[in-house]
Amino acid sequence: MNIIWILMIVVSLVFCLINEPNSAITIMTDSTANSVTLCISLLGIYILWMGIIQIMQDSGLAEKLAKLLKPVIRLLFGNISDEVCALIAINISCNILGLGNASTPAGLKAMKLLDNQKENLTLPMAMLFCINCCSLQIFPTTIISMRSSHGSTNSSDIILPIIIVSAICFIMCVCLVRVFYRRQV
Amino acid sequence: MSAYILPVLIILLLIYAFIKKINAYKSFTKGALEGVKLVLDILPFIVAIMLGVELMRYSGVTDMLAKLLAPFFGFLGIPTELCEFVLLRPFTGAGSLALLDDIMTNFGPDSYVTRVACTIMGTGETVFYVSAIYFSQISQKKIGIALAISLLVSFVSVILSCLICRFL
Repeated sequence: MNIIWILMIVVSLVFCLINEPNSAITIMTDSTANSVTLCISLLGIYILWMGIIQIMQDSGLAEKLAKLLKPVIRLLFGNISDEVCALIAINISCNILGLGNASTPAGLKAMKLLDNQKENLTLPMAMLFCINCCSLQIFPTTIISMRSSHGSTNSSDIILPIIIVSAICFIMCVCLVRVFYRRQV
Repeated sequence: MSAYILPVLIILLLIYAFIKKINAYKSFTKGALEGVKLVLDILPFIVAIMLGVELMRYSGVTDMLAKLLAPFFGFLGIPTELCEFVLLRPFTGAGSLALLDDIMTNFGPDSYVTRVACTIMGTGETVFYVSAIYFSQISQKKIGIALAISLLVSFVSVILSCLICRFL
């Protein structure tokens, strides 16, 4: 991550200096200001969903959901505690429903609990990250509404290709994580 | 229809909590406080990644990369019109949505190019953004393999999208 980030910044700044040196700093301050605005809107969203998730956990609904998905989660993640299992269950089901904003806080909470202060990633951590990098969404509402607003004749015919490609990629992702993080199981 | 799902689920959850004699108000505020801490934790990481992305876009680096990679993408069956879109997809969700809108305006919503772009949009994720915030939560430093797997899988999804849109 460090190398990627340094490369991004340095190469871009060199380009800026060649093309239009005056705007370089403006772009930087603008983008940091924009990301703070983004975080403020995220703050509202996360407060809402973290609150809801907490109610789910305290009322025992999260564990019920976890019990339902436990066979699948255990198959993917190996041996993990019940609390983490419940959070991952929320994370995955929100992803499938297309609630990216609700799935991220649950995923982050699970990630924090998985931390074991060692140097390398463990299998559950890598799996959690990689699964969240695959899109599991069944019904891509934003894309479909965007297509119909542009006057598409059959805006939902995109669902089938999306589901097929997502499924193939999900399986590939799970297999790769299993192969590369096998030793730590 | 889908507009009803979430509000109904929240109503059911609150009724369930009431029956179970859980103090829902207290639980919500407790979770909300955690949410505040969480956003503060990830704020620096979001700023750092956004800074890089915006700089790359405005300095013309993505344009140049798109031109450089066009022959390679063409060889793999990816329409060259989509180079910039494919490059930006792992970095920014809002940015690639805006590009998708441009693509629809330029090529029409039912063209092959648009359908491929939609499939890429729907199957991909903002890998770098996700890695920045997920890995901000933990002390592990060696994340290379997991990141490589995710990028490889996204790249395969791009190629598969181009393939599948020829048949479906």
